[in-house]
Amino acid sequence: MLHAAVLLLAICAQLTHADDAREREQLIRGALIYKFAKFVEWPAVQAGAPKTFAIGVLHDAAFAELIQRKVDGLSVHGLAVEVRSLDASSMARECRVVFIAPAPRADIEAALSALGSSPVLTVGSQPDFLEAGGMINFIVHEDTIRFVVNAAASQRAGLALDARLLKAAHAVEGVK
Amino acid sequence: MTSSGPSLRRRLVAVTLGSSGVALLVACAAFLVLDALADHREATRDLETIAAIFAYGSAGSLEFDDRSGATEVLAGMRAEPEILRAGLYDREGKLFASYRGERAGQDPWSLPPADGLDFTAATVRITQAVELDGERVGSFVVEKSLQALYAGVAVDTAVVLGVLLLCCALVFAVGSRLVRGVTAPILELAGLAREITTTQDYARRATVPEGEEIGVLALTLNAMLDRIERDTDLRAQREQLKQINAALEREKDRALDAARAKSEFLANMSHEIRTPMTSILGYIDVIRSESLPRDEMNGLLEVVQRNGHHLLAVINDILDLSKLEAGRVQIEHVWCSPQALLAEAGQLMEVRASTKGLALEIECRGLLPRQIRSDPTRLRQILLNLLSNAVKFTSSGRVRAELRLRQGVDGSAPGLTFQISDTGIGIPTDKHESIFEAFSQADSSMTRRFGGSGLGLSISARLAGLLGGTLTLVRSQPGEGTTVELRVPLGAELTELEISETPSEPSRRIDSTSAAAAVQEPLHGRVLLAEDSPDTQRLVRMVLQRAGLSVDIAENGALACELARTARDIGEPYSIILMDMQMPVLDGYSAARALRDEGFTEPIIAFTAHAMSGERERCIAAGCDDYASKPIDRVALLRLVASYSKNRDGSTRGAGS
Repeated sequence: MLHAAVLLLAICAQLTHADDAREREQLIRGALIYKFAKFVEWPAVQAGAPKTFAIGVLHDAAFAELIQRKVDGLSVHGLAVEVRSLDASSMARECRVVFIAPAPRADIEAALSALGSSPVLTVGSQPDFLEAGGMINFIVHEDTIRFVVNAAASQRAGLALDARLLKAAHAVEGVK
Repeated sequence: MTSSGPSLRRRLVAVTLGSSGVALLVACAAFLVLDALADHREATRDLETIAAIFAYGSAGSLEFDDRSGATEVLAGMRAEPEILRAGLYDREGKLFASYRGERAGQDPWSLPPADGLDFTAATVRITQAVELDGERVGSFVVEKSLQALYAGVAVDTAVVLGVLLLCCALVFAVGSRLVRGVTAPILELAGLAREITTTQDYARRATVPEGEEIGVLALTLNAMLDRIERDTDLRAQREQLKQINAALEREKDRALDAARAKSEFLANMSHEIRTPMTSILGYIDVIRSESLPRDEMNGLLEVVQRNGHHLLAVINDILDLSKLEAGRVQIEHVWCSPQALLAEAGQLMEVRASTKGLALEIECRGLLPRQIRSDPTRLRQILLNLLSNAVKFTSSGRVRAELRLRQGVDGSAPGLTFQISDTGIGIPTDKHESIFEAFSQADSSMTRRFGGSGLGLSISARLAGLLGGTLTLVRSQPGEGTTVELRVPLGAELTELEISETPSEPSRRIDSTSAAAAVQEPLHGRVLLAEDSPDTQRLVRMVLQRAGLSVDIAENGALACELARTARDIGEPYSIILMDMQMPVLDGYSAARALRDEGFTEPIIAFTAHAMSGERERCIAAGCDDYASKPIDRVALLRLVASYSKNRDGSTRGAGS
């Protein structure tokens, strides 16, 4: 912990003012990703259920590290949270939640299709993420980080999103 | 007892009403309490539900920092007007969103209160944790007014009270009617019992009503009345028998007493008559059998004469007493002067008193009524008796008679008191009780010493009683004289009586020699004697011839009438006719009446052996002028004849006057 705190302090000291704002937004996003997990129900136990609650971060090691710091020692649905920095979308199947770092739409679609209908909550942070088939997307509204939800996508993956999550969302798409 | 009727009914109604009322009251109270508790529980549960729902729903807003969303959610409480205020707090306890109801006066709490329910008199508040995935992410606080609850309870209470009152009214109405059915027969029984107690009419019976206990009660009462009636009848009969027995017993005693008294009276009478008779017959026998010197014979004849007088007195007294005993004595109530009666008695006793050398003092003291209403004949008889006794039993000293008016004391009527005292031999104390009883002279030797029948006081006492007065012995001791007192009532109100002060009169003396002297004068004329008894004929003829009169004798009334007519026809009518009243053929009454009817005006003097009162009147009514009772007293006869001869000689008499 002390090591992490010193490291965080060192990082923070090196950051510019602009970097500070970006850093704060990233922290909020990380906390939100963790909080989303609390409002989502995954399908019944699979064979060889994992011992941890894995949150994967695809193609953004720094963010992974940030989240790792944020949720260290926390748990969701009784499982300790584990943050994994992923390089390939194939590894994302193992996780419950996957954050896909902003990328060209084709890459995003590729990553999502790799997941198929696996029960993985997909979170993104780019304007066409939901259109590409993602489930929750961060937006900035009136200088506040909010999120929008694609209920249809989560339904396809067999995930049940809590009404309170939908209520707190800036907008919900794909609701029939 | 008097108010038991209404009271019983009131009590029964009260019992019914009271028990029903208490039961209803308890039931209503229990219902109200349970109702209020249920309402309260419901209100609490409602609030808990609301808190749970809102806490759950606001978890998302808290987690995603959605203040506007949270505020919007809380605004949904408007649907529940009883919610006063609500607040949502984050995990640090800072107010995140709040709601304020229309009625709320206060802002939400700055810090969330402790978890759980909290009640005040008017509100209930709950603090509910907002949890997410087993983790507390904030607090939700909501407060609700209990006003509606209380209003509901108030309405319920009012309704229940209304129902309670209605029930009581129904119970009263129905209960009164039912109770009347129960009490009416009881009250009827009670009324009957009370009436029977008052009237003692045990013949009455209760009508037996339906209904087990009261029917039994009525039957029992009737059975009791049967018993009482029977007992009462028996007791009455027993009482009656007892009274009859007592009456019979009394009658028996009275009859026995009367029989005893009669035989005693006869024995006494026999003794009293035989004693002087013995002397008379004995002495006459002696006189006849022996030729005695004149002096000695005179002495013996005196004894005979005295015993004869005594015998006459005894017979008179016995006749008086038997009349008194038989209740045949009639008492008159006429105006008479007590002073005159006493003076007259005194005059009659004067000769005897002076012969014995006694002073006879008659005194009237103080104010006295001139006249009283009484029987003068009886009063005179009593006074003569008392004075005669006093003179008889006094050998030296004086005899004194006093008359006083006795004022009424303590409501008793005023009356007259005659007190006769003497200085005679007196009466021993142990005889005081019996001196007024018949045949009880203090000592039987008294009769021999002093003569008299011994009946005088007894007769006087009874006569005094008949006059409404008393005769009492005031004091008497042997050797110290005797005082007796006669009290008689006035017989009229004192106000009707004329009071006069009578100066005390000195004792009067009558000239006893003048009457005797008058007899000494020789008489002239013809006398007709109608008499059936040869002895009496002879006696009267002897007496009258010696006095100078010529005497014709008729043996019955018819002959007497004939002789009288003959004498008149030849122009020499009799100067006096002496007529015995009891004669054969034609009695004296009829003869006298016949002679008067025929216009005879000669004086007729009746002889009669009837010593009854009223005899004199009977004779005079028959036409006689005067009356002489047998036995004939020589001196009295001569005086009587002399007085009528004189009248005859001196003046012309009217017939029958």
